Amino acid sequence: MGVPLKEKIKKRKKRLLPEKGFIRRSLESEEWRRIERIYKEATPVVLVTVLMEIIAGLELLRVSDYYVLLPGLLLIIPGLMEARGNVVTSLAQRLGSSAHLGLINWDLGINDEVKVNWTATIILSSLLSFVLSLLAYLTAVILKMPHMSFWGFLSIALLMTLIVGTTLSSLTVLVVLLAHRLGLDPDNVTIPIVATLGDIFAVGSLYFIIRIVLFMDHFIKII
Amino acid sequence: MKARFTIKQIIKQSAPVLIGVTLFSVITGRNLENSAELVTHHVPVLLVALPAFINIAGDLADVFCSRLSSELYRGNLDSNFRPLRLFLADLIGVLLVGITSFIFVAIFANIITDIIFGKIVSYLYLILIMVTAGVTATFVMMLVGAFLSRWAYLKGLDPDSIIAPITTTGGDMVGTTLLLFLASWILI
Repeated sequence: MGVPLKEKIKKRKKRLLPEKGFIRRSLESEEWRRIERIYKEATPVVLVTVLMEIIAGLELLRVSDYYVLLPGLLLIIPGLMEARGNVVTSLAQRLGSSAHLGLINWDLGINDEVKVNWTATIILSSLLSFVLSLLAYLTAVILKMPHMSFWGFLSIALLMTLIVGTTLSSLTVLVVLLAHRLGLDPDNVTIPIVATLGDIFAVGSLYFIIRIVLFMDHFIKII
Repeated sequence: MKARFTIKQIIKQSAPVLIGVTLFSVITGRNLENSAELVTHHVPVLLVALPAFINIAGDLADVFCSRLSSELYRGNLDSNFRPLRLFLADLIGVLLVGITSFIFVAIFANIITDIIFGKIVSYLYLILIMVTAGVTATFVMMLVGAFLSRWAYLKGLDPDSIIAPITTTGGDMVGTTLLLFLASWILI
């Protein structure tokens, strides 16, 4: 006589369904803990940055009224914002790796690893400011658009690097060191925080930068 | 303690990528902005949601690549991303953060739009569009970032200096294009 049907079904069920305690074991696994940690650490940060980004976006619409004060400003602002974001997220990634390798931490303070990365970021920002100013100026000349002088574009770009770039790079160092000290993974939290802070600073500083350039123009012809 | 890289090395590795990606983004971004203006004119909620939406896709791809390069340097992952379970756990973890965030953006932006413009779209459709476009863009850029990280690591370059600009800009572009396409298809 063959195996009873009941037994057959039981065996098949055992094969198809996971063993008893599978869910509990899965939830205790290293992979689940990893997923849980990413979710727990990154989600609150990303949600707060979403709120800040939406508010910054609305503010940017308001600040855009000032764009007309400096002809050609719209040619350089998107590029500057993009470049600043790219430079600072690279810094955050490098410092995140350095923290994991034990090369930087709160107790070591501002050591060579931090100094080298910070300085390289400022140099890269200045280099990009120059390239973007040249591109904006040439675009305006070729397309015969109303524009300020090359020095006007360069002043705005360098002022943004000076004000936003240096503050943001320093804040990136602080966020990485602080996250590491608080037991958080810098890789999970630093990038969303600094990318959003960058947008907020950039939007907030635009008004002042426009004012500074207009003020400077009284003494040296740059517009 | 001596730094991992010198200033010259960082600049030499980062500058070509940064300049190339930024110029590419400025040139192609202009076309995208024109399309965005057309769509946001009909669907103002996208005007409110777009800055947060595009940032999330790029940021999350960066978070994933940042974790990846840290694990490569620490030796927890090899250059083929083995053990694969750790790689997949990171991928799933970051995508879950993405799904939650895109749902949140859709709801919050719709509320703000209601307050400012008095014009909202269906929550269900908006969530569907944002999650589909956002998660697809994030996933694509995570894979691109992983592939480039592996390439950079094997070439002896620092993935941290090279990948972030590409994933941030790529996430912005793929996400915005998908969002505008889905929005003009479903909401207009």
